[in-house]
Amino acid sequence: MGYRALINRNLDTAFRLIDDLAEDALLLRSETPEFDFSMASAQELHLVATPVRVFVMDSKKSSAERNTVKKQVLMKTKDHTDLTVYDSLRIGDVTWRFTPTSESDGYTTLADISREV
Amino acid sequence: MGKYASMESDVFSVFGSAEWKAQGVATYPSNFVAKAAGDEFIRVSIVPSGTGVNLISGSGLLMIDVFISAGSGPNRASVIADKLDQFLVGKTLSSGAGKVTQFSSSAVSQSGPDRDNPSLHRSSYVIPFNHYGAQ
Repeated sequence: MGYRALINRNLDTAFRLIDDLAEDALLLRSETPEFDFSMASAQELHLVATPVRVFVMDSKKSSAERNTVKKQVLMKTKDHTDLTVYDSLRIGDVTWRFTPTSESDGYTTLADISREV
Repeated sequence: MGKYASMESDVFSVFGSAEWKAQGVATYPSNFVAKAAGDEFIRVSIVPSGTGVNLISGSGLLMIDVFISAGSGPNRASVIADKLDQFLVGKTLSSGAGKVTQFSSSAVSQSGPDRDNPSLHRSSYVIPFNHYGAQ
């Protein structure tokens, strides 16, 4: 077994061992990512959902003037390959938007999500 | 329709037209994150920063970022700027109800490698406009 497969297998084990600390979530993306200038709106006709397991690393509300909650979530990179195509993350009944920044080491992805509450 | 929405409607009518789409330049507005935009596209921003001849008129800048592959030379950006000129310079656009947007002459500056993606080169195409609303 190569190192890449070994690391991914250990990641699977880690996500299994943390049990309910990891949550089921859905990565959501629109299938037609074009902007319609005639209608002055983005065409988001079809949502495609990709199931992932996420571990919420951090949650904070840092502004006194806004009810913005930010979270940092960890997920396996192999579950989504490219996070940039996704718009939002649904955890339970709550939909979070991705902020423009995320980082990945090729095995795990740390993504920042936020929403107004 | 208010003056800001009217300005936007006039500008968007250009980029929503079949004639512009036939130019083959992928076009996106500000505050829209394109997916798989490729290595050549433009981003349109309307900056209604000035006053007008009456309370429902205004003026401003149409700022268009032109993204092309870094290292490919300036020519493609110039070609795209010329295409934009054909559709904008000296043109008068109207979204109806006595409201018109008039564009004057354009300018292009080379901004260099894109900050977010240095594999792209960004040029800035800027054209002032006046928007007139009838009271």
